[in-house]
Amino acid sequence: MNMIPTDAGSQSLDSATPRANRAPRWLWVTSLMVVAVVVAPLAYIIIEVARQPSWSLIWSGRTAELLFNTTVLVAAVTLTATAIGVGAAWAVTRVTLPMPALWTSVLALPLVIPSYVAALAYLAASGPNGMFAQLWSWPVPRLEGLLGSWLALSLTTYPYVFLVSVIALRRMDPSLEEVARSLGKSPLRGFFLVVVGQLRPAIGASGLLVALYTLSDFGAVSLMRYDTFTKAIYAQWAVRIDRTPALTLAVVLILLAAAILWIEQRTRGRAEYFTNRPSRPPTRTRLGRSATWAVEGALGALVVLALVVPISVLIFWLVRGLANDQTLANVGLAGLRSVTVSGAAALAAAVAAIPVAVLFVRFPSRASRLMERGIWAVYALPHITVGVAILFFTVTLVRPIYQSLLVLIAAYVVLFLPQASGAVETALRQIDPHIEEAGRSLGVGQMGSFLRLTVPLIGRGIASGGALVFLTVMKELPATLLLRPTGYDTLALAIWQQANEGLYTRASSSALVLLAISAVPMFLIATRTIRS
Amino acid sequence: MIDQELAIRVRGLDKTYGNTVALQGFNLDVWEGNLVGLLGPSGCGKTTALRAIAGFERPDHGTIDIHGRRIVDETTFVLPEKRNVGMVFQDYALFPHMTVASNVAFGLPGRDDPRVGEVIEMVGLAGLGTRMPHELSGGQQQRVALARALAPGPGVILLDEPFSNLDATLRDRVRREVRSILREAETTAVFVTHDQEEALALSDVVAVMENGTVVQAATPDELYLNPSTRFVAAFVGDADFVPGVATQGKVVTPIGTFETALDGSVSVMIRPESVSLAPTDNGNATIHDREFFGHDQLYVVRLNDGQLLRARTGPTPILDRHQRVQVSVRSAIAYPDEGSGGHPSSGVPGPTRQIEP
Repeated sequence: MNMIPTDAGSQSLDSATPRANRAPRWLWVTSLMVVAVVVAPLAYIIIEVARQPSWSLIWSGRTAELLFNTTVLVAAVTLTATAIGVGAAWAVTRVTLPMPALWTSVLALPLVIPSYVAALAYLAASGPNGMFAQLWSWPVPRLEGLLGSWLALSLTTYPYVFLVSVIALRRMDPSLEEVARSLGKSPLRGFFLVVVGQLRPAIGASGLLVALYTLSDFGAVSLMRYDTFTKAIYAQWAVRIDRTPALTLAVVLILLAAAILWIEQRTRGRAEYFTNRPSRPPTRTRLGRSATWAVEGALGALVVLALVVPISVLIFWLVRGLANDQTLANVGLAGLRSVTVSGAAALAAAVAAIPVAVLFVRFPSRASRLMERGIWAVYALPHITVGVAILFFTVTLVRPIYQSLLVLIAAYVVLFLPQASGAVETALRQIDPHIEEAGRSLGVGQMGSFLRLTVPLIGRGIASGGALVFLTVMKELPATLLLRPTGYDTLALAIWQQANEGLYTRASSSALVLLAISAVPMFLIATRTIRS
Repeated sequence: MIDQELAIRVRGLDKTYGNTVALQGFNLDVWEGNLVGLLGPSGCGKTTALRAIAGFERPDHGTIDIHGRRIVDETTFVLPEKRNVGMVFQDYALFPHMTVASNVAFGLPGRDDPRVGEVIEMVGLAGLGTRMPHELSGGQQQRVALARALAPGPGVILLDEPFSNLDATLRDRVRREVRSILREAETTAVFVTHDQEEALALSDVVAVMENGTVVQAATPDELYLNPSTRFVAAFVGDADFVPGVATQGKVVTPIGTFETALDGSVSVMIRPESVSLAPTDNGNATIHDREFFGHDQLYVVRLNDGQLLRARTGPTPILDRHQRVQVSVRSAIAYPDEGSGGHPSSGVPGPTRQIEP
């Protein structure tokens, strides 16, 4: 967008790339306001803690214990999810399986189950009072603590690795494996040298996602009573009048997230992501009958564990409750509240995303890249730290709006802005940068060209960004828990509270409603991504 | 040409981006109704010059007038939408969410302007007005872009590398069509290209650019026959250079002696078609390589000092590799060498002829 035609400048000469003109002032002002809202609370608590660090807490045995527990869980979940995800991706793309497309969709499905719903399901399935004991008298030990958290998180996060690996394996040019063969490598050695080497960026990126997701998880670990940073931060905040311990732990958790990001960056190497389309589909290895059975059996067991068991458990408890005339939770009101705040957050995020996306795509500069990094950094942080930061910020600096829906919705924008701005940026990048120039050379002014040409072309991107935010907010737990007005219980919150109190019938009914509203569209988005 | 009106007058355009100089003292005159090709290697600033005329770049210095109206100087900058300049982009930049007719109507006051159908017919796309851009072939998209630019009746049309996105088989045909459409519309047009063949075939006047400035603007034949600098000679058409030292009206080179008005160290530019080869056992060169094209053939000969020289002949004679030949040159141009040590050269480049073997 040549917003200031009198000040056109360019970085590149004879090229069709967008020109790095200076952005108009109104764009800078609105973008800076948005980014300031996103970054300020975190900056505030980091400065606050850095000013008076409580070293006694940081070096205490308590912090060491939390650090140990958290690290063990993050490492275990990341390794498990990566192994399952890559293995399953290899099976559906490189082996002759019947109905590979169906397997791919079904294996991706657990993506839509929030970790705390999975935790609820495993808790309500196991133990002396669980579904297995009630139905078949199976003595399944109660899944909780590290084991339960590991299971719930591994089985809900492996689809990230799976989807990214499937895409990477499909885009890989099969000729490369043949080149390895022609240069004298055995098929297996060729696979490790060429395929695994090329998968490295995909595995790294999705493993990072899993590690950050696990680090950030509050719902599953709190239901499973496993003591990690997120659980401790909430406990500190809930019981203490002194906010210092919670803030200090939050900052330590932020540093941990930064450390994970740093490690991934350092080990990434210079490998590029695959962008070119292969000329033909990859060749699949033909397996013998028993080997095919083994692969299908393993995939089937995975689907049962990650998808069939959780959903059946929820339905079991719902049916059991209905049969016993138990009063169900007021699911309708909670659902209405969830849809209301999610809708408002989606709208706010989509509007806020437009100026920042235009700034990032059309006027790249050092300052705009810094702003972009700022909002993505906040996006990568555990939600509970962002929630604590916003809470502390509002309590100390803008008390009148404390515990209002305004703060809650602003918090969702802070947390999920990159989902919306990323979608708008993608849409903007797909537009030929000459389009608006063509409009202007035909005598239509800059605002007219922006409204008549660019806006219709990015409308879809704005809508899909908003939809993504809507679906994510629907299942957000920790920030909602901290920031909602007292008693304003959304579906996510109802599930967590009821599960925490062992009210599995009520929790299951809320969870099924949540899955119906958020999971189905999420699944459609995810499968569209793998197909394209 | 003298009685014609000047459509575009550009003087002293400078433009730098950081440390990169895109334009430096760029001058250009475009006469009413002419088709002018702006030719140069990539990075010479030709697209920047075109975008400055269109209004998408603001030059640091210099003036631009279109039909006598000042549109750019130190204090003036007319916005692109107020210049009445049509632009055809390299990638066409068709509006993907609009039909062909809506694309063409974009610059017109109303969508059902009779002009829409008129221009669509003029570019040979009658009946395709309701198609979407992605339903058209590359050549058809190109014509929509042209129709859209022509529709508002602009005073000048600018085309940025208009044929570079077409494949080679299509390019010749589309080129001729575009030329006849522009002729029919009686429009003044400037197009940018890095392809010298395209510039020579299409333009009334070719302006050759080097390092942000026009080094020679002339008709295609004048440009080819009398290139004003070594750069132009090498860039437009095939050229070989043989070194020599000029004294007292003569320059002695490995292929013979030429007459010249220059003095000092010079390069003699020889086009392959002005070289004749005669097989003889005591000739001054041997056949090094040969490419046969049917209607002609290109020989590469190795001179006695090892230098290679190209010669274009008819389908005959057929000469074998290592055959000794006598090379003679029908016409050539001598250029003074710049900054060569020992033999300071002087004088202006000029045509020369061989006076002894």
